[in-house]
Amino acid sequence: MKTSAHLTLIAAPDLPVEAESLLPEHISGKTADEILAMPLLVGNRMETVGERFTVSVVEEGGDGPAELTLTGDLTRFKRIGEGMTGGRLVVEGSTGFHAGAMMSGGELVITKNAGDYLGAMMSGGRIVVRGNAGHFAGAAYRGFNRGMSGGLIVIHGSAGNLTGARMRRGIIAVRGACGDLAGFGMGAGTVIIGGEPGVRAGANMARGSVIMMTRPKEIMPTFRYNCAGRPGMWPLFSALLARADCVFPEAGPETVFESYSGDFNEGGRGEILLRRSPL
Amino acid sequence: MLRIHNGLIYDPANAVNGEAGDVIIHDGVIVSGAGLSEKQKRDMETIDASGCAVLPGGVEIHSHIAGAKVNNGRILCPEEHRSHVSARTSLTRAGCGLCVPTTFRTGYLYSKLGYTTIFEAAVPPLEARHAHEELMDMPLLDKGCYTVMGNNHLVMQVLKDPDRAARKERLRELASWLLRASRGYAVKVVNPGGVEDWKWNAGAADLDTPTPPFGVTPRQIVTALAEAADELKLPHSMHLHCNHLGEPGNLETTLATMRALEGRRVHYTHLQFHSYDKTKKGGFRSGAARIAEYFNKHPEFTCDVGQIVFGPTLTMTSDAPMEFKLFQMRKGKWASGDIEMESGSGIVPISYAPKILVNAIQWSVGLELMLLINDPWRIFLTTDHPNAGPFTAYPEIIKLLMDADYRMSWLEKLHPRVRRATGLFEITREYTLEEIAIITRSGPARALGLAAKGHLGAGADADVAVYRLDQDRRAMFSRPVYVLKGGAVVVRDGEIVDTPNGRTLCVDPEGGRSLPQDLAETFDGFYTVKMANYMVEDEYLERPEVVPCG
Repeated sequence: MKTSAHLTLIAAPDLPVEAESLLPEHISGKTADEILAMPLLVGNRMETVGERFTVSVVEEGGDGPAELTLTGDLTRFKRIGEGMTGGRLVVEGSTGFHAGAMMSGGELVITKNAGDYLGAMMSGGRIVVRGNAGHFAGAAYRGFNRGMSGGLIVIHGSAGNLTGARMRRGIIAVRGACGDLAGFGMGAGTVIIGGEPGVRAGANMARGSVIMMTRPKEIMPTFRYNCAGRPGMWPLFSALLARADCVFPEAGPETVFESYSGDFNEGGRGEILLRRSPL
Repeated sequence: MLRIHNGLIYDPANAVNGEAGDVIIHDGVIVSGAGLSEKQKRDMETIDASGCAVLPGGVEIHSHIAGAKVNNGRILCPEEHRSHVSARTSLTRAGCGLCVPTTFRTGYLYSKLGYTTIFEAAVPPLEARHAHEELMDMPLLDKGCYTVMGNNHLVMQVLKDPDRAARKERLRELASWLLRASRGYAVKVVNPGGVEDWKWNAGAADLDTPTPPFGVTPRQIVTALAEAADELKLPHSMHLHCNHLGEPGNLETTLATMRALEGRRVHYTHLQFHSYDKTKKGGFRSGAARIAEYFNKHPEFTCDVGQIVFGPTLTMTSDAPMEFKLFQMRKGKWASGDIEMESGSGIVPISYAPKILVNAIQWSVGLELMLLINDPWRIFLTTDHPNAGPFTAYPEIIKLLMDADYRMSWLEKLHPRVRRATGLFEITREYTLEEIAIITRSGPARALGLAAKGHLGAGADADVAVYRLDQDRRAMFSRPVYVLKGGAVVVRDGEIVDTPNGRTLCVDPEGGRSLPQDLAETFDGFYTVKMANYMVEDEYLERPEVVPCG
């Protein structure tokens, strides 16, 4: 039996909330009362979901994965979707820090903005943010040397600094502008930036790709220009992202990209692909 | 008065081995029940210890738990803290970390294993204030720290003196002054001369390599400091971390050091890291049998093992050159500190894996040492926390020592060539509960000269651990039923129920009331702090207790 639950926030809390319990797999097969009795750490006090949300539950036929919808201003709710392994979690509103961090499967959709550490160290699944994301999207937490290692993050708005820092696999697509140091220290994977990139994109990257649609103010001096061409993977990437409703209309399948190798401080096996603007 | 009733008492210091009986406590001290009537005993508050083993509280002789390098380790490894978190309760504070836990959590974790006394293994005097501040924030434990002297410029300046008699007298005074300045408990020597040698880019120090800029050799440093510790009649001998830690073939250096120190009280710390032989081709193999054979013949020596625990941990030591080598091998994170004229320090995260041959041999060497050294009063259980692994692994190590079948079962998990490089799997010895009580509490207490610790006789501090008897020794030692600190129940059924603060143990040896003129001038000329800001003052010790010398 597929469970679909809709939680509506009664009032935005004054205190930060640790909301890692609000996962589709946790509501699967549960009744409304059982969901309302689930724990929720508000400030330093353990409350129940029922003290903060109203709930409606629909049991549908079939064995599909559970779907959970959260509605309201959840900017003080941290760790929504953290460690998610399957199902679908939709946030109709904004979330706080760590949304989708370390998730390994399923889909997280945030209709407004996400805080810092969106999808940090995730290993699989898909995150779609309709608004903006904070710093460290798909990055490694402090002390770890492996960030995102699989999956897809699509940010329709802008993203903050250190997007994809130390990532090892997967794709991050930012439709809007991106902060400084995108793809910092990355070992593999791809960061795509549609809008204006910040400074030092790709700094310390060992491998992986940073693809930019808009020319940055400068390419770091530790990168070397290789050539211009039509990378064979771009049409595939473009189609993949289109399926996630993320389109880069300025870069069709025949778009020419300038290729730069770097960071030569780290061996120079990474690449920056910069869309060549039409003359 | 409080009575622990009907437990099987393991009190090796008083030759009590698993006898059913009562332990009577009054005013934080164990008292004799001889003159008490049955009615008086029945009327006491009683803890029923039926089916339990009653042991003295654990005594940790060597652990890195407080001070600048531990704090740097916390900063260097936030990931380690993220994965080990304990929430605040009505009694305990929130904390995090396993290999470098926060201060309060360190106290809780040790106490939950039945430990009640603990020594921070390496504190340069310059950083002693920091160490004491952290130690004061460790509840439930009596604690102390060892003062690092093996690469101290003032020590080497004194040792350079050609007048033998004057040198000896001045070193004794200086060691006493350094202990008082740092409120230390014992003389600690780490890679004597080697850290200073490395700072001058002069390579690794052998026992007879002169250390720049003073030209003093490690042999001179260790013999002179061991002599000073003896003459000051310190309760604990010199606590020595030998040269060439972790290098294949380093047992030759270790044996040479032992020969140089024959006849003196010396504690060789984390001996496992100093007991490596090498093959003809320079490969890594166990040297535990040779070390144990020599060690068994010298009752003046004690040691702790520094047993490897598989899994991630953090190496941290004043042996900065060793950490630099480790960093060069691993190319990961590394922190290094230059402790001015006193020492160095280094921190490198590491992970020991059973399928890595070197790690598997290291693991075997530690167990070999514990099984081949005959006298449990002279070898103590440590993991050199966190260098070889976290102290929370003690129950697992106890199981390895007490259960030969379990030990053998590890063979298939280790690198297939480990059997050729060690003799561990030919040893059938199993530790008894009495021997475990010795290597974890009575032995360390005796080696530390703590007359009121490590036993349950009349007059002892009422530090007691009560474990439910279980054939699975790991389960048994993981969760004491009761732990008493100073007569108060602090752990019940594995959970903290009270959080009293312990005392700071230090020494007050003869002499060393002030620094001689020439050394004071060196201090003023080169230290970045003034003398007034260097000494550990009374307010850094909340509950000091001076352990008598002599």
